[in-house]
Amino acid sequence: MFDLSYWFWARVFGYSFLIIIIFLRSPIPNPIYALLVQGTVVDRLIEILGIALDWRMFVAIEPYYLDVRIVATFKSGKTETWYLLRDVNIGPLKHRSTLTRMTLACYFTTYTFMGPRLRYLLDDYYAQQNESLSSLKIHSLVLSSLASEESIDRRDNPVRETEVYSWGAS
Amino acid sequence: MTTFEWIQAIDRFIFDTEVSAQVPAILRVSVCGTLVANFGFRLRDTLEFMKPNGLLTVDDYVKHAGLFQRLSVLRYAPQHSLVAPSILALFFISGLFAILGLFTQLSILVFLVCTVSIQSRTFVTHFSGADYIARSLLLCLLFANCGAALSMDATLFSRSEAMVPGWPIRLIQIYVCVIYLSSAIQKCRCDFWRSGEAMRNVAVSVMWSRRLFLETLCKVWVYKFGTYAVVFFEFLAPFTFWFPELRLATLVVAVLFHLGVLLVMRIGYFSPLMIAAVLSFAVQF
Repeated sequence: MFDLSYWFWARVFGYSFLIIIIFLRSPIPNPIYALLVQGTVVDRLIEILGIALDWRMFVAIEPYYLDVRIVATFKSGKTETWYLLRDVNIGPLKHRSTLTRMTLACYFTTYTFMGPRLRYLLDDYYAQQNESLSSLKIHSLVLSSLASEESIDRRDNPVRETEVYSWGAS
Repeated sequence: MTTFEWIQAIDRFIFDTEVSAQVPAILRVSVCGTLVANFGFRLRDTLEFMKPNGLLTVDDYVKHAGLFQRLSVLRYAPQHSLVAPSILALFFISGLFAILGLFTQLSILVFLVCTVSIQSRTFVTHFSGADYIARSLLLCLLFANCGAALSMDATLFSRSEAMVPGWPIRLIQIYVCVIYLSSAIQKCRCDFWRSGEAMRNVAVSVMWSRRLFLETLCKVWVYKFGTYAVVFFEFLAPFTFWFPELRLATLVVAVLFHLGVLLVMRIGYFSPLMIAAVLSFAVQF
């Protein structure tokens, strides 16, 4: 038997989904999204469910974004040395695996302009959770312009910097 | 054809379709299985983020999530140390039920809510393309009759059906094509993809590379060929998928492509999820 309700809701969901995936945040110009979806209940649902994929994520391999690194600063007397966090060998750092993952997360957060938020999270975390790490501050995010063996193997003064976000004690 | 006839044709193409009940069932098992396995591997990190005094406290989450303040049960739940493990447990139980096809649609609904809640709560780490794709696929599967075959529902409650409505599968197929086409367009906008050096950049990256086959991947002809082949495939696949004669070949290349990506790059569960998604083309409407 023909089910009008099913017929209707299938199309409401189906066409909304198609408009979202094809037009929202896609490289294709999106006047249909602006006209039909923006500011509506559907728009709110997109936000709640988090299905509005940012297509720029799939580019991924741009050297500028590749070498996003969290750099730790150590102070010893007057000298200051920078290390890549992933290579830092210190005992008290309890969440090394998590922070390595956060290095990965930095890519996304920086790429989508959420870098500053991560900065606060890290600062808060070190301030609140681990007093023994007071000598270690997450110092900067270095976005390198060159992804090569040469840049990877250099431990200090890492690579050609194109942008540096700095904060915390140095 | 008039505009109205075009619209009718598109409507018929998407909605007047039926598929074998095994197709949504296979998608159900592969998508839910991939998600469960992924969270299984990341359990420790996820808990570290989610617990009330963890790396990302609820206050920090509310304070910093901003635009990405999506729905999360954890945002409104009491700040108790048992809440996060409970939501994770519910996630795994509903995922297992969805894989087995027990109370299938309800399980997928609970699984989707748990997935969105956990990923929204841990937005710092769950902000990848794979997470978006996973949520979208689950949303489509919610509307598909996933439990009509290869499920305990079909076996225990005699809910077995031979054919089911195919439009949610059609949406997934279109979604896969849009992913390929959009990423191909984006890649063509980037210098390093146009110059053919993207593959080499991947191979030497500390973040993305698995450091396997490094020497081979750094040979000029290998990385140039690989880079252009990826773009070529991503441009072509959204079209060749729709020709019955080319569908199987495209499907095989797509699976090999994602297996290759999985082998070379560290990009979480994106590859298994995409393999699960392209399986939607292993069907004759």
